[in-house]
Amino acid sequence: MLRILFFILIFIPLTTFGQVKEEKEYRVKAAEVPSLARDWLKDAFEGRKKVKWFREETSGKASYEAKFLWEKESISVEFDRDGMVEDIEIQKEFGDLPEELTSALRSFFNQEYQNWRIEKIQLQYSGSPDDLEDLVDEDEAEGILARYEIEFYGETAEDKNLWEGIFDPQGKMLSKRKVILPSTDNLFF
Amino acid sequence: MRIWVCFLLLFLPFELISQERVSNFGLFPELQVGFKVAENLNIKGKIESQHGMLDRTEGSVPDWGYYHNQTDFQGFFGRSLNPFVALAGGYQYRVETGSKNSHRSIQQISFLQRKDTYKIGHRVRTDQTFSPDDAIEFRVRYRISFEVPLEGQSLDPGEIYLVFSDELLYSIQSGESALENRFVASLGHYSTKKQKFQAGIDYRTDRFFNSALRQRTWFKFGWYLSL
Repeated sequence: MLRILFFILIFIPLTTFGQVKEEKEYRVKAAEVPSLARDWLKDAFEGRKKVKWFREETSGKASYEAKFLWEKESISVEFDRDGMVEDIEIQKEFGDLPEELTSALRSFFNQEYQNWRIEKIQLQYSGSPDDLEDLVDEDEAEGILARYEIEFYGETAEDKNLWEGIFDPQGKMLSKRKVILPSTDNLFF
Repeated sequence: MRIWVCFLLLFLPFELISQERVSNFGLFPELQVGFKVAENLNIKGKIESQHGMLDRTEGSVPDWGYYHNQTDFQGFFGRSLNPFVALAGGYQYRVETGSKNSHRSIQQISFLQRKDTYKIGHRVRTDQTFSPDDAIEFRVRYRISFEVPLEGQSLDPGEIYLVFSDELLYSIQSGESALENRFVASLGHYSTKKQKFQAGIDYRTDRFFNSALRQRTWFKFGWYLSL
């Protein structure tokens, strides 16, 4: 009986490989990225160091993402499938944010949650390709929409969850969604 | 990088066999199924089974031949305190060749750390093993695990990843203590959001306090299912 169990445990997993992906993000070479995206990045971030390119596919929609360090900050630039720039994201620390914003965020979190912790902050800039390039080259914010994407842990009397919230530059929450972490059974058992 | 890892996982066991102190080598399949029973409450069932292929005592001729070593049937009841911390209590029934079957009670707390491109799992576990002819064995163990995606900055369904873990176990039975170390390196496939497969090497060393140091190498493959 134990020998039968052994063979079952070996062979059943092998027959279930090759499942269909629901969403995917994977590294690609620069040559696989549309030249429109590469050219825009080269003009806007002249002198940047090594860029890592990723392709993202979600529900049939594809996009490209460039990640690199720029002036000691982690930058992520997103492009659509044709290479048109969509937004720029800059990773921030809580202490680097404007004082008015941190004050507003503290008030918000203290009001809404018994206990809270910020996991990750990204400043997002979206706009036309020319406006985004002007933002980088000349620090010109005309035509630019700025938002903060903040991943945070919040405890209430009812639950304890991980959330991703979108905030405006004044610290007002515009939307939030619950973050569901993948199973970690393989790490814990 | 992936080709290098595959060669390592294929050939490492054979390199260890060629060393002087290898005493066991075999196959170690495991199956784990978990499901939610309520918000933050879950049940896990696990079967893991050791099947030996090689036994060798230093200075003697290697003994090749299949044998069943042991099969463990485990059940856990777990509660998530928050997205990063979970408690679990469990029970194990062991069927062991050449020994009487045993019972084990298990308690654990686990922590998840998320880094930009990888995850770290910490597990602290205590267990008590009850055998008909032996005194109760008490163990305390700590395991650290790293899960590293290989196809991007985050692990998505359909992608492969690496898992490395090291676990230190301290046990005491009838006043005698023992130490064991377990190192595991595996290649995994995150097939769907509910399913992961892993295959790799589980390398265990124990009996540090006496002359018969034991090294056991298992080719381990696991199927992890969340319903």
